[in-house]
Amino acid sequence: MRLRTWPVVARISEWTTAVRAHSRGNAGTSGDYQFARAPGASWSAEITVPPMVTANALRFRAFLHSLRGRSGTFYFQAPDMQPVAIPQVCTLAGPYTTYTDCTMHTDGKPYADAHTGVIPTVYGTTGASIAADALAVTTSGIPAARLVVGAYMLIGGNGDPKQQLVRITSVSGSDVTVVPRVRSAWPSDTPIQIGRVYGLFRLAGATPEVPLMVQRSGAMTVQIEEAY
Amino acid sequence: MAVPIAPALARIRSLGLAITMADRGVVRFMRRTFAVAPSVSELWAGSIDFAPVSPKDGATLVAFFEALEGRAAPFLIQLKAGFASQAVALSGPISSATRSTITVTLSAGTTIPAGTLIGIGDPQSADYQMCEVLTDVISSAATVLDIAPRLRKPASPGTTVVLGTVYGKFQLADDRIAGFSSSVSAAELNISVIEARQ
Repeated sequence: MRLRTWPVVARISEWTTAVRAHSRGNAGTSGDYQFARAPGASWSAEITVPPMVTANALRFRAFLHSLRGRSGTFYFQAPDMQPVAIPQVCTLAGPYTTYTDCTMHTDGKPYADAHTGVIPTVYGTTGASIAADALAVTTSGIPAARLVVGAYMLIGGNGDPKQQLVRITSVSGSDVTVVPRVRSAWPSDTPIQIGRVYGLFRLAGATPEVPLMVQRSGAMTVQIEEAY
Repeated sequence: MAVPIAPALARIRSLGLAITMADRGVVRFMRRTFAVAPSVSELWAGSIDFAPVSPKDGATLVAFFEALEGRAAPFLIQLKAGFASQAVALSGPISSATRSTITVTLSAGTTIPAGTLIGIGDPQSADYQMCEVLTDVISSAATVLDIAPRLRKPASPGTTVVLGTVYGKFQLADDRIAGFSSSVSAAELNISVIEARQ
């Protein structure tokens, strides 16, 4: 199988990456609702690609066609799957004091609004086995500062077809909960990584047209969904 | 009967072409895993927006497309390198082909970028097919081109392949041309097309 990645020529100006839950239910006769969760939550996204020069637009068209509809898959990394770091030490004027901050600012503290680069990917392992359909993951070897609510995490080694992209929803020490639920059971010591992560996606519908104009393309949106 | 060629005043202002993939559908299991069968049929479809012309030329232009009698008849339109195709100008004979790759004898040393359109065969022939190169390659005496859509018919060795500016063979996607508007000063036309296989 050919390994494809989202082409760098197709920059991303907007994106909506979201977990699509899976529930079944219906409205009761009294107007109340009852739904039950079902397995199968997955990632979906809508990506807006800004105008490109013609040569790049044609390359992007070729990439879309190389997927051959929905049967082809590709690795995709949304911009927020590549978090940027901020200065870890901020010296504040006035009555404030110097503080160290590498928590990606979920703590509500003020910080300098300057990027210092891409946060490096950190690698760890699962500290315990994970059952299929579980929400909870015990991590091992990941710095506490990188276990942040909202961060993306990959479970499973690179190249493992079961590898899964998840988002951390709560943190308690080295224990985290994630969405979507873990699809496959994993043993202890399974590789995990946080930082520059990616997901395996496919087109969510028909192959979109790249709108070609004189010397450039128009902006376009691409609907994708997680492939698993 | 010869396939008519769109008149020169049909200058394309914007073009949206994509290869549609008719497949056997998506199998959705309880866990929402997917089994997407490979496409069984691939063809070009999209829309063509022509640059405004004078009302007189607009009438000539729309008359050309109305003469196709809806979706019944094919037409050819030139898709130029540097706009609809990468800026390449090469041609050569096929030496061998599979459904998704063709090997072409070309003069050596030219980069053929992904997104280059190729025309296989005589545009007036029913076997003519327009494809797109999917991966970059350097031309040589045995240039292997990874292409989409897949070839509908086996390509005979010796068939000429043109790279760059090629003809697209389409038919109207609708029996009614809804995208024509004319005013005192200008006329505009937009058509939806699908690839013609005739």
